[in-house]
Amino acid sequence: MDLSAARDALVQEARELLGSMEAALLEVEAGGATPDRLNAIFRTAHTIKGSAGLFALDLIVDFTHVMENVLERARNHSLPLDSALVSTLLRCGDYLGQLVDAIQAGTEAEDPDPLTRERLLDALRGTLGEAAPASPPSGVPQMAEVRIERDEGGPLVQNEYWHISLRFGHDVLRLGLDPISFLQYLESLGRIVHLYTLYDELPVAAEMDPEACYLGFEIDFDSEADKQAIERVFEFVQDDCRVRILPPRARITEYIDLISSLPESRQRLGEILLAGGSLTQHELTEALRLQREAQGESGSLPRLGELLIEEQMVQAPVVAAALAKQKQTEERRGGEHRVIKVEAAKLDQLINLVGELVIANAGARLAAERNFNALLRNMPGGQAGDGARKQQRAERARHGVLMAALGEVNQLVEQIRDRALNMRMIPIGEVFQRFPRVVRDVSQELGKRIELVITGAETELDKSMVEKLSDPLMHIVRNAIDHGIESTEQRLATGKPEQGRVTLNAYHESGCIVIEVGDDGRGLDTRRIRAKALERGLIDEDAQLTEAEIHQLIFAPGFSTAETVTNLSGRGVGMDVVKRGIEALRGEIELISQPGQGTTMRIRLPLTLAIIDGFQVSVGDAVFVLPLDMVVECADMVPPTGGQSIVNLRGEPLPYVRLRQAFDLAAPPPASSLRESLVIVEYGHQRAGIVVDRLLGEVQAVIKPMGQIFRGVRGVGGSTILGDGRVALILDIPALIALSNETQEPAALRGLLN
Amino acid sequence: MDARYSYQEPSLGHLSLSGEITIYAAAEIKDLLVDRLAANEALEVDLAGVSELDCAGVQLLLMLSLEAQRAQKPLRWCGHSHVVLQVLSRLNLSGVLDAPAELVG
Repeated sequence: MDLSAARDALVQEARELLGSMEAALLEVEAGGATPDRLNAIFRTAHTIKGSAGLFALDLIVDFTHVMENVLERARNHSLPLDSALVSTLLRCGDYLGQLVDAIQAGTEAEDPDPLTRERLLDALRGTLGEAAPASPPSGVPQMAEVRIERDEGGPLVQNEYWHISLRFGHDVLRLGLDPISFLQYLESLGRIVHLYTLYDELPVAAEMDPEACYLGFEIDFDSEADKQAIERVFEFVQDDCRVRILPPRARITEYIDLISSLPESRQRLGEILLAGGSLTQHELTEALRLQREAQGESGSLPRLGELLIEEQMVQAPVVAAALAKQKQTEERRGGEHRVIKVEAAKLDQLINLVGELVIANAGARLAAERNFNALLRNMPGGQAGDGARKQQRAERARHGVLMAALGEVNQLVEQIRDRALNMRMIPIGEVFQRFPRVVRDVSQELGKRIELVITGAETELDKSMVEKLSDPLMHIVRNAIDHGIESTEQRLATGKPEQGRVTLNAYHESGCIVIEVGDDGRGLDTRRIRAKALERGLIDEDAQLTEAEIHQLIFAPGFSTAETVTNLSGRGVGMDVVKRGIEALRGEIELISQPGQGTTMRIRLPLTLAIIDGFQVSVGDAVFVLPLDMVVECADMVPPTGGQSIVNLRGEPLPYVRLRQAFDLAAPPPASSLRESLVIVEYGHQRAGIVVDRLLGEVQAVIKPMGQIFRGVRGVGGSTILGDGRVALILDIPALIALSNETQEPAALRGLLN
Repeated sequence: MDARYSYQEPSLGHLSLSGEITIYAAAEIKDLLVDRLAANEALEVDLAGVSELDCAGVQLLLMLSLEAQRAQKPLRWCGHSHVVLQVLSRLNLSGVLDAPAELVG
């Protein structure tokens, strides 16, 4: 087993588990502690402990152990899971997150935050102390006592310890599991009083498979844990290990069952049990006598299988729990068939290759086309004889077949491209799921009651973008709670419901993903924003600004309107950082605000950063690619109205950009007999025309990032390689639309309309 | 896994095991142990350099011990490294493989 791979898996699993624990805790807080939720929380803590135990990550094991104790109490209702405890447990989750980060960084031996650990452990132990002022003095677990009262028949043995019999299956070692690590893990629950290693099954050298496991253990174990907890230690090998667990002071008949069920002889087992102190000599003699009586001296010993079926010793709740767990395991296995975890780098390689395939395919089509054209040129002209015409027809037919075949390849390549990109798509819910916690914490801190409504969590976008979206969204949501939503008194005074509402929404729209963060707060106060901007020297006294322009001022660096500076936002950093973060993803933010009704920030992002469906145009010799999603229509360029860069498109004024001028291209304009073309593009709710020499048609463009030097070039979003090997620039439509709007005064637009 | 093998006297073989005595090299180690036992009238196995020992490794040591008994050849374990002592103590096998009873540290 590759340890570093296993470690990565552990880190990933732990993070997922911590996420679901947090979600369950928040549910408890919102909707009360149902058994399902309590179980879910307990299970996650326990599974984290289990996996950590396998890697001997003691910092995690010890910590989760205490958490588990608390959760166990909560589960059997001896401890209320109130809001204070939820807060503590949430912080415990955060601390575990730090430990998991340390594993990833390879520094797990060191405690990243010993102070927090101590505080949390104190808090946890505190709740335990309050709930049970005096822990039971003896080493006998409560559960066993209950059981003794209930169970009838058969004398009890004196042994005060658990007895555990383990027989590992041959494949255990090959599965990468070492029985020693289970013993280590078991020790996290209590003390191994006595252990006997059985290697009776070990065959002679010639027959021994060095990679098979032949070991078994008889263990006497001192622990406060219950049977389920001990069983869970062996959860990971449940299919490859026979586990029998007898409680302290078990009935003597249970030991008889045990002895009969194990593969070793009665005498041998008797000696082992005697040596470890599991049974006294008297008890053993009694047990063997009872067993002989039961079998009438003649019958052979029942084998393990039959015994397990008839086994009566397991209590009803244990059976129910075991069944539930089994079902869960099956579901998990089912899930494994549906989901394969793949390293992100491998996927990127694949997508890169698919990109090359797209380019190569375009190259093949182009070569075929040229070949055919050359063939036709070399053939005799129009007045050729019948033979030549026949040959021409045959060539055309052959070319048709070739193009059809290439077309089919092209379709498949397109499908492969879409599927490959799809593999990188993950639901935005992965980002959204962090927000219930954020909203809870922030609203508690500010003393506001806030409801979070999430919609569209299943909307997918590129994984690489998901990671980069998290921080900007966090800023926006905090800002909405802090500045957007009024205090409870203010809300009540203006007749709004006491509870504020923050919404997160996502959906797809024309090749983009749109993410909206809304609140039902006071809305942006344009007067105050303007005043603040003046004060900060961001605008001039006599600046004429539209409402939208004033709203955009909140994205200016160093801008903050908060009257009281809280430690959440209001420090004037944030919104400009948000804007830059979104722009780095080729996205943009729109602000919609209604005074007294609330504010919505609408973020628009491209779906992916890798491949686009493009539309090819040319100016002189230069070829450009526009994202097809943004192209609305194409038209012949009409002479412009007056000196302005505006054309009249069916009675509507449309600003335009001439690429030749925008990029200062040296190529001479086409002869006046050839009309230029106008490509009408749309982004968000804005339209503009782009004037080019020729339209070349659709193309798949694999976006290659621009070199550092070209980062500052406005209007260019990237480059791509065409089928014939030439490089084409991909146009940045939002930037060009902005450019088209800058080149004219609003007055000109109005003049055109009048 | 590294193994050094040398003769001390014609009949007593001396075998030094070091490195990781684990499942990853189990097949190789098994062959070596069987081979050395067969080639000698008596064997001394030095465990001083053992840096890792898992259950597969423990089984191999047990196997050698049983094989030696079957063949009635004297077998001696020596130089138990800290790791070896720890594992044997946990599995309560110190007596079987001649480990010193007291585990320091």
